Amino acid sequence: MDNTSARRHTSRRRRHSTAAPQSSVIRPNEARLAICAALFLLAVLMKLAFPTATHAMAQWLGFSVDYKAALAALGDGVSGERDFSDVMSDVWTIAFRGETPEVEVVVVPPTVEDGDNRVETGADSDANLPAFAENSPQTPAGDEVPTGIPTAPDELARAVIAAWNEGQREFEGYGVPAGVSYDMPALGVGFTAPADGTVSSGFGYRRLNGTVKFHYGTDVAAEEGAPVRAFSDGVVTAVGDSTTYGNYIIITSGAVDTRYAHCKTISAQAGQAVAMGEEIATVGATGNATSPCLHFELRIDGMYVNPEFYLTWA
Amino acid sequence: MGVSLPFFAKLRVGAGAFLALAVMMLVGEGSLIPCALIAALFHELGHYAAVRLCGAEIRSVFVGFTGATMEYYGGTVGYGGEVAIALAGPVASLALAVIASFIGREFALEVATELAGLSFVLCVFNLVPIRALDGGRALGAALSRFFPIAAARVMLVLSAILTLTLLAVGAYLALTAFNVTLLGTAVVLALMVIRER
Repeated sequence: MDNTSARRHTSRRRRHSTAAPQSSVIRPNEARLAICAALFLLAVLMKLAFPTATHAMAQWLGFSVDYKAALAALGDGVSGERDFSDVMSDVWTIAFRGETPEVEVVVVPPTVEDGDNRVETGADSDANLPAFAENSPQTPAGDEVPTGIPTAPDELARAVIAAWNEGQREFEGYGVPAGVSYDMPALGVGFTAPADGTVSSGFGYRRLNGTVKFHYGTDVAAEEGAPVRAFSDGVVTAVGDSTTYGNYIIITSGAVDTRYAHCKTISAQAGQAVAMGEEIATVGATGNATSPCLHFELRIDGMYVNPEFYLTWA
Repeated sequence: MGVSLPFFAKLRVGAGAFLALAVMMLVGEGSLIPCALIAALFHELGHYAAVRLCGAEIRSVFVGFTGATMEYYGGTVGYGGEVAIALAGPVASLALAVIASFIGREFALEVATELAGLSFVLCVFNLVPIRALDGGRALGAALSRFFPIAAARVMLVLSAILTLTLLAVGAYLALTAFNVTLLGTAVVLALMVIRER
């Protein structure tokens, strides 16, 4: 480049900078950067303030894909947790077809194995049936929400039901398993919480190691040795142990059956009449439990229902 | 180029990067963004390690809508070095995927498993032999060693064919399954290929 052209170049620049006032000169890339940064902040705000609207928009655009599930599945494939060909077909279904993959669903209620030690009561257990306490809260007719604990408001039960249904929404495709009711029918008996603790695994469908399984009860994590109390007045109809349930006890109160599993010790005996709140066992980790917890199952007329609808654990 | 600038002077973030983040926020789970950033960082660190091993220096790193582009200079690179530098990114991503997946499995950390999946996707995506991606760069460098004149044309044709195929399949899925994941990916790829020119 010769000097004359260089000089001409610089003089032109000088003229340009003195012609326009300094403050209004904004470089185009700075403007673009500012606009895009603002757009990003807007996106964050939208996501935080209007999550449902944002999700609906994404769905409308065809982007309602559970990328988290697809990526988690891939991660499992890489670690060898799941078979890679399984994973790839799942990823294809989720990410590129936007569908929920059909996975094996265990719908058969866990049954007691033949090799169990099980002490059952005979037909004359009716003689030991206690009369239902006169002062148990009577269940209201119709579809009102019954409360065994006088202080539990109906609103709380409704909130629990709504939250549970929301959590199960991703499993809608699997339907309701046989022998299970998603309703909250009236129990007809006064009841109390069988153990103090926090729910470690709730009732309903859950994703374990990539497969979808149905949990027929509620697991309450508690300290080993903590007391397990009878849910309601009734009769102990079975005490046994199995590889899945560990030490378990079943109490029957009319149409209501309750099972308490993974117990450390069981103090009640088959055929014994128990009162609501009476200590019948202690919390343990027997059976296939990985840590001390009470696996609590609630059945009405033979149908498994969600214990969390009726009780709240701290 | 005797003076070595501090890293932040070499990093340039383009407007497109924020657009990409905005899209990620609205379309996917916002919680995946930190994982995406970590995966991208690891990927670039892989490239960086290979660059330094060749004795070269980073001139600049530009982060745009389609990802990060690293410019390097100096050292003894050569065709083999170019291949190594290009492949170092996917290799680093694969390593992160394996490590994160095992952490996710051992400690039951869903986040780690998702990071593993993301990093794995990044690895596989970058290996596609399109000239804008690491795989394409590696292939282009390898071909250039033996067929210096034909290499560029081969890569162009290959890139065009692959991109158009993905666009077609993506459009088909968008219309039938009403799912735009592949189409979106293909559009991004097309943009990268066009921009490479």
